[in-house]
Amino acid sequence: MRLARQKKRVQRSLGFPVILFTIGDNIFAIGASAVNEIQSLQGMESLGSSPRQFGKVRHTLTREGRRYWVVDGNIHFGMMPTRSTRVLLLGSHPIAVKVDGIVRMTEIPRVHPLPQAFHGEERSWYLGLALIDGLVVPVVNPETFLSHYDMSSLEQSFPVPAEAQRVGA
Amino acid sequence: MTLAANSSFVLFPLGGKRFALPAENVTELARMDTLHAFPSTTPLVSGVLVRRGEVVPVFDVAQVLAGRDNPARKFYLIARRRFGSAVERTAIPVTGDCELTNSELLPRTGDLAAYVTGLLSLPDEIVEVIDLEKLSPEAAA
Repeated sequence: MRLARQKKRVQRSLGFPVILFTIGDNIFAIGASAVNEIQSLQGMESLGSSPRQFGKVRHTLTREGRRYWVVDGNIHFGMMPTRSTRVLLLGSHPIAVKVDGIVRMTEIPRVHPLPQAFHGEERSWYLGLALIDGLVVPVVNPETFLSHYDMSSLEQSFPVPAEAQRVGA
Repeated sequence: MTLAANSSFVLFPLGGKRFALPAENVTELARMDTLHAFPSTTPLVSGVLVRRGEVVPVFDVAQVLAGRDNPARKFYLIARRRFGSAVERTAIPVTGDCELTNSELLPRTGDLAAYVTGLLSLPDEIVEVIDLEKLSPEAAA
């Protein structure tokens, strides 16, 4: 009985599935369960001159009647612009993250906590760090690309056109 | 005035000067290893090392202690840093061999930077003893 329980525990902790993606020279991981779909950039619509406060959201993407706010991964992580080719459509919120490319899907045995020495914005960006094939890969926190406040402000600034609402319905 | 009896310190070079840390805070001296960097906004923390499966942040204090010089780092001095009640190992890139010494900790003088907790009077030099918790980019000014 005891042995069986221990076995179960080991199995549970074996792997946390993640998707590895790149922005510039950096590889990041995101929990696979947080991502609904991976798409090309096709169909992205510009927000025009988005207000300064939404600097990292310059496009939207509509999939199956749902509008996603496209977060520019470079701006979110304070990186120089690079050549994006993909968007990760998140499941829990109408957020898509623009990235350079997808590396692969893998499993990580554990997420190491971010050392206390890091006390900047990265504490909210990352859930922790993973060791993958000799590399240290930050595991991003999908909840922090946009806050609820950001999303409701965006909804107010860029309401869905009535026609699109009818089509979506 | 002497603050305490002789204590042990690890002397480490950065650029043209040597500095000291209390030996009790130093856990090892390591060869240069792969620095894993990723986007972050914390000043002076340039990335992490992996030491025997442990993720160790790299606290690159040279820009504060050595000024604008960018001396080539040769080793990592791995020391403990305190964060509230937590203690964490931190790798400090240094530019040459380190040395253990026993010396009296002399009180700091008023015009020294806040991160200097005291001074060691060695035969040919006066060495500043550093408090890692008080090191910040502003301290470089």
